[in-house]
Amino acid sequence: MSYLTLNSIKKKYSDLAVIRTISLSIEQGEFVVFVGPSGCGKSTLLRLIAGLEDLDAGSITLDGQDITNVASSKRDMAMVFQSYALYPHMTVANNLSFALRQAGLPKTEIKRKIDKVAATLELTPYLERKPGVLSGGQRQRVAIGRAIVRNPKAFLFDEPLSNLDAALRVDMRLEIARLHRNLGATTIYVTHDQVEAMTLADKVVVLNRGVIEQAGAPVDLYENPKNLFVAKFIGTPRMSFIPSRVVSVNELSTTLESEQGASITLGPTPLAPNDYIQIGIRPEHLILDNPENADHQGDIELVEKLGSDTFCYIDSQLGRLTARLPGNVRVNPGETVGLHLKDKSLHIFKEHR
Amino acid sequence: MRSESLLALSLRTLFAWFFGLIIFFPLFWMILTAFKTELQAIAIPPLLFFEPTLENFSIVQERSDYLKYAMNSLITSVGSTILALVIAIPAAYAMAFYPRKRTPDILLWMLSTKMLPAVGVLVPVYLLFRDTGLLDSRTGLIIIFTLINLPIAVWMMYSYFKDIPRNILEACRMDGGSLLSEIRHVLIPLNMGGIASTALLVIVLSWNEAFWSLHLTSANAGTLAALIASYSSPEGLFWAKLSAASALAVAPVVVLGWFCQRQLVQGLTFGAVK
Repeated sequence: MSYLTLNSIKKKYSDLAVIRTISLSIEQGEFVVFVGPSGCGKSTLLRLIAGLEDLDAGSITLDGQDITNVASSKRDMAMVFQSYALYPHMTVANNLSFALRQAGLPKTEIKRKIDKVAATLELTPYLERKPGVLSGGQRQRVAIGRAIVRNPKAFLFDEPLSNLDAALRVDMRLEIARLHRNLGATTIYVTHDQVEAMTLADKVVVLNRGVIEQAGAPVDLYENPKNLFVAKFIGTPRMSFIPSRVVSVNELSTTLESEQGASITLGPTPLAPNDYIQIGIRPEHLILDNPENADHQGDIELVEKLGSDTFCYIDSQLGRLTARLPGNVRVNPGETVGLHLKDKSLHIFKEHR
Repeated sequence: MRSESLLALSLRTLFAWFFGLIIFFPLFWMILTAFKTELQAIAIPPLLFFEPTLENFSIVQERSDYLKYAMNSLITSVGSTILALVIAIPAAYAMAFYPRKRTPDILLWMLSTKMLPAVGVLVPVYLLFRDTGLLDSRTGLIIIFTLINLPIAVWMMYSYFKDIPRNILEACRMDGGSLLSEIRHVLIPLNMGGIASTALLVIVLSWNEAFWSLHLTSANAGTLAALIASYSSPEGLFWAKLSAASALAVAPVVVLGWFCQRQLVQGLTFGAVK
């Protein structure tokens, strides 16, 4: 049995179903990231696990124990809030030691643990200060310190980095990854940032409108998105889509027609004539060529040079496509280019009309 | 920074002084009268300059024991304030952090008891007090003061608690804190200012309360309000002595108010100024 399991849990706020039947297993030591657009229920799901909200249906087990009706204070989980939620009237040292004091640990042991955590998070010079005079990054570290100072059964992070500026966010992300590697504790992390999800997670859970769209290893989600939502959500820049209709299918090939009227030929597929599909293609899989060498042509609308990469936004008969090219490539807006679609790298999603 | 013209500023100052003086005048006149003889007190035209006398104060102290009344006022107002806070803090906690559909109605209903004229429930309360032996006792007064100030205390604590981020209380819960330690270590320390303002307002309201203390007490548990009232007699000259008794009665709260102006203003304007 898994370490933490959610068994068909549901949650409603008045008439709005925020969580519509979610089941999930999390292994001990796993780093799980809940990701999804705002309002998808990811924070609610975390709060249900924390016990800060009551379930409407289903059950939760942790370490072989049914904790569905156990109070948050008795679940032995630690949580880092988006707003940090530090105790403003207590010094950093007292913020860090609060949980230990609640548990009734001896003073010398509390002191030892605090010193160790403060050293790990570089908070030692600030131990006697109040949170109000600390910077955002320092507060964030206090919030994390408050969680790791004890040895909880699971860490819960609720969008912990969203209030930090971009540079600090990258630093803290690495810090969290390092902490997880050192502590090996089961961690559930909520974010709307798919880069955080991809870089931190052992398992990414993509949520949308209260259900799990797909759960799996980050690379797996990237390479084999199960549906259109996951395909659109994971990856920057986004996957490009070519809406098309199946014209004919035989043992050797499939012929499609794009919405703009271009004819596309693929290898054999399990599609049927008149199916409406979306062909997804990752920017790095779209291959540019001279116009005369390729089946399809398009005009470069916009070029973004990032140094390491160049992103080309192309308007073609297939629709709007994005291509990722090396940083040193010379392309200019207005140029006409040829486009190759490689069967192997295409993702096909059926549309139900 | 000058955001208004000199004329507007002086007009505003003039208005403020005008209304300030109107409000202050009765108090000033009362204190002045306390130092007059009874004849001077009723002189027409009213005397502004006279030779002050302490005669009234010594008569008041002779005729009735000021300290006893003051002690009764102190015990009943402080006692009822503590009791009101002990009830109001958990009540406001529940309503601020676990609101239900009917919570606003309950709040309004509690406040609506303040709209009832006190005299409307005088007879039932009097009978209840008589039958339970609470008449003319400090315990009785503490109970009635607590009850009349509870709605205000709950409303004030509620509005202060509403400003506390819920996450901080949740963090305490995640840290293994029980409900009691949530209230003791987080909610109360974070609201010391609000609790002080509320306590101060409730003390002042109880101290100045006259209706119930006059009707439910006599010799034993009489508060300073009862002391003042005892100097208003149907015949004879009493204005100077009444003023002296009143001056003695309001002196402690005026001093208290002077030192706690900030909390008091915060309490009186709660919700309006944050």
